[in-house]
Amino acid sequence: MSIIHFEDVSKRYRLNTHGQSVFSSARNLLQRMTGGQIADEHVLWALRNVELSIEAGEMVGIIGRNGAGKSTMLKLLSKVAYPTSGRVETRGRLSAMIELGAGFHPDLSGRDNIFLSGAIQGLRKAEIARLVEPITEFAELQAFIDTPVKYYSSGMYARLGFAIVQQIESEILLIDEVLSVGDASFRRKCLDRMRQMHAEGRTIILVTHDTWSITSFCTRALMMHKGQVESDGTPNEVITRYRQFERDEWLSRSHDAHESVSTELQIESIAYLTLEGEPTTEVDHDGMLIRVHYHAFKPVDEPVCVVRIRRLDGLVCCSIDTANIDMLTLPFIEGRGYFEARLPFLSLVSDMYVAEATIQHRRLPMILAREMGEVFRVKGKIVDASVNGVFIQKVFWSASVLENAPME
Amino acid sequence: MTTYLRELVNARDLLWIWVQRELKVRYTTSYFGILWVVLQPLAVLAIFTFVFSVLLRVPTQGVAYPIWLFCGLSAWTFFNNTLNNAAGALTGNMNLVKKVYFPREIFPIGALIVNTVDYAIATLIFGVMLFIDPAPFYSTLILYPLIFVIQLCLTLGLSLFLSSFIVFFRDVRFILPLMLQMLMYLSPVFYPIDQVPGNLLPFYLLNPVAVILDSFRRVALYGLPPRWGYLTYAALVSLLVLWVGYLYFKRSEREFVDQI
Repeated sequence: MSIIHFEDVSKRYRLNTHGQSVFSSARNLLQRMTGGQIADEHVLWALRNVELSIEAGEMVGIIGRNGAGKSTMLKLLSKVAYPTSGRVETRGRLSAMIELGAGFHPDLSGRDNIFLSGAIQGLRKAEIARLVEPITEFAELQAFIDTPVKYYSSGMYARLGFAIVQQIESEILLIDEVLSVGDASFRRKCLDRMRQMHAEGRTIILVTHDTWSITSFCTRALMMHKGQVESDGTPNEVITRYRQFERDEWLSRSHDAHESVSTELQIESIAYLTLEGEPTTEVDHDGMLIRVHYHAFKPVDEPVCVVRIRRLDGLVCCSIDTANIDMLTLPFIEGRGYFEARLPFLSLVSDMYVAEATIQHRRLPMILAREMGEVFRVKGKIVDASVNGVFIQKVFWSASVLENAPME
Repeated sequence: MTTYLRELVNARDLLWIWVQRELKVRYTTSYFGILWVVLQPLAVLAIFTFVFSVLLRVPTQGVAYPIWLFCGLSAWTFFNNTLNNAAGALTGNMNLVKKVYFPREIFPIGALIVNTVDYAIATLIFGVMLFIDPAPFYSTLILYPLIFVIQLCLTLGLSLFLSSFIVFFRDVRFILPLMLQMLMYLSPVFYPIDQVPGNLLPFYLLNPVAVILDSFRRVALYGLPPRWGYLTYAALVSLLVLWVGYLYFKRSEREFVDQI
């Protein structure tokens, strides 16, 4: 039997039930009391008909955009919130690392806060008393444990928080995006500890934006989208799917960005051409031309044109501008024309990209016009970006033998 | 109901640690610390004695005004402060409520206990006053704890109700001080209950707080038994308030988080 089970779980939130007028509060109260329906516009479905089983010992990473329902899942698991419909079942003790140092009081010492935090997580006083020592040691705070935590750095704060939770003996551990704080060495310590806990057979649920920690730690991944489990499988499969999603999302968003920033200048289009000057949307590594067509309604002094090539997940792969090494200085532009960037070779790996162009003043930190081009493709087989990297590096390999294997 | 209570009993260590936290924060972060528990009511007592005894000459039937006032005032202060603290007990700790599950009544009950500590100290001062006062100790004083228990039930019930109600209706924050002020003037805190016209008294004593304050004074200062009929009524109201308040709290508990 699975250790965590979601059976057709939906969760509805009502929006704006406070901070609104007395009248609508009163109306809501009336509706609540009469068990009536709540008007649709005040309702948000954070989860919809989620079916999910997690077996003991699994280490599951949950990924998804903000508002996809990840945190709601954790809230339902930790019984902080209850499903609107359906059932959430968990077996065994559960501890949550949902916010490191939740419930710490700044005026109290580290030791007092260990007691408080432990008690909030459901420990008995005697249990906590036994754990103070190992917690302090893990957090490396021996010298400061009787200092009020308001004097702690944010790193110390996070260390103490993690140290407390990692000591709680639980079958299920929930972790929500908490490892982004703290210094690198402590982060590693936390990750090692998580691995160890997983090895002990504990079930771990990790919610994060960081695809790397999912591929490197988890045995299974879930992608949430609009309150549903969009994809469920091995970390690699799910992350690939997530990347595609991010891409689509980013693309549809960037289409909204067709805005002209000032009235004196407009970028009319961005064109991709082969080195021979043929318009194209598929280029190869030999190179390409990017033309930024502008229309200046008034003379624009000392313009600088910047072109950024972005991968579809938004990553800026390179940025070139007319003020760069090969300076192109124009005293002014007026009327219609174009800037042309000639890229004699293209070291981007095969993938989909867009060019984004801005025209700005050389001296003023002011963007006069901005435009997003269409998608173009660098020819070749498109592999997952996490495998191929961003650019192609020219390389000369060699191999040498330093010592021969001993003869038998 | 029994499951709720069992859960609460299981969380007793947390309740205890939470109360300790609140007390520590209260008394270790200010310079005079726990001295404030004594200083504050004494200061209030001094100013009120001046206004009501010296200027307005409120009649107290032979009992020294400071003692007479302190008896009612400390009881009222406990009621007033507990409700004020309980009102913010949940909304002020939402970051915790949203993150971890534990019985949420820890917060209002914690507020009650913290204020009870203050009240206990005030009662100690009151005891010292009675001791210094030449008037004898009355045997009716034995009923004092009973009245206190009734007051505790009423205060806790209202605290539970208020703390959760306010999560859904934040406006209560603004209404509460007004309500408490009205209630204070409708209770015999600064004036003796004999000032209330006889034909209004039955209505006046519908307010359980008035009954409780009056009972305290009767048993401690005048050697009279409480008005049993009204005290029984007040006790029943208090128990009802406690029961309804707790049920309301547990019913709405599941929705606290969704409101944020």
